[in-house]
Amino acid sequence: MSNHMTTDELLEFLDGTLPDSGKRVVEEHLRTCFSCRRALDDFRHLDSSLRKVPLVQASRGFTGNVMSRVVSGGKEPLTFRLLTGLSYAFAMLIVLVILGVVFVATGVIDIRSGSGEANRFQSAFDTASSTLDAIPTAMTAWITEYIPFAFGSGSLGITTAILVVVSMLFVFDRLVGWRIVSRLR
Amino acid sequence: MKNTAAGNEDQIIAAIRSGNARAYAVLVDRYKDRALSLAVRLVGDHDEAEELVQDAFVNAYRKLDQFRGDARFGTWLHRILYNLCMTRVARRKERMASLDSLEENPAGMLHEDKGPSIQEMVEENELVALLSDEINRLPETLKAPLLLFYVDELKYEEVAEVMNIPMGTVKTYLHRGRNLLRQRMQAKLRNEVEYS
Repeated sequence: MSNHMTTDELLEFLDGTLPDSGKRVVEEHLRTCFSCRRALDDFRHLDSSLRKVPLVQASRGFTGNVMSRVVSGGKEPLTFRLLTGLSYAFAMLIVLVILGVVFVATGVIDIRSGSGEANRFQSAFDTASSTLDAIPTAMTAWITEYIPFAFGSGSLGITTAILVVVSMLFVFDRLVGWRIVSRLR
Repeated sequence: MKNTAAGNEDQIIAAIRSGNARAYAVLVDRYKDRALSLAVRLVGDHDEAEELVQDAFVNAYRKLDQFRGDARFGTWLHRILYNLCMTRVARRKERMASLDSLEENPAGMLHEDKGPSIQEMVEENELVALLSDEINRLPETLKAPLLLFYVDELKYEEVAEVMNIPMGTVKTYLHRGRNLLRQRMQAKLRNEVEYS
């Protein structure tokens, strides 16, 4: 049989939830038991320190973000939803373009009958090769030939290319969990 | 009888219900840090926690009609948040070790112990920092009641309501949590004293 109180008894004594009879037993024991007195001191000390554990501060825009969602009916703000939708559309477009490049480079799709820009695009691939090994070369050709062809040269092309990059950022932000955009919101 | 803060809260909620959505910002400002402190420690990631706290506030707003007003808004919000956090933690399929295996002496008899007390080994501000760290290592079952009781300053019955467990279980968890913290702090500090 142990000569000490249980931790439950000591904690209830500390919390003041022991009945009077139990309280007297603990008080009596504490008078002569150094171990239990020290354990009680430890618990008292821990309690006081636990109450001083600092709160984690929410980010500066937190209340604004909640309120914008509340006001917009619990959804993300309209601009954010539009941009997100746009980003998915761009992402799909890019995937289709890459697939197209691969198909053209490997000869699965033949666009020889085209003319103008399309022919220039095709000839770049023709010189590169029609095998899978030539994909890096074909990609270089795609970058130099197809980007101006797809997005146009000048400010329109640059704007579209920037939009593509931003949309990809949104996609990775959401799918991969970078949360860069979420932090900016 | 309700205190002034709760009385004031009733007025805010009445204002929101009558169409003044902007009044909700007062409640968000009042509870955001406490809510985030709980969520960060439960899910272990600040950004993820902030996202969950936002969701909890938005859900609470949308369900405001279901809020009966017999508890504080903070207790109700914490319950929504606690459920969101637990769902997220469960999704990660984090396996928790059984409580008894984590405790060297779960709420049992004290052993004869002649080492120095915690107070003799560490200053209070240092202990607060160590505890803040050590709480994160507790199993969720013990961590949540400790945070709700000490950091969020909820009462026993409010902790029971948030976690949807009987009040007796809350007390048991709190005892186990405090006991486990003491054991771990003692071991850690005595180790440091030995090697210094």
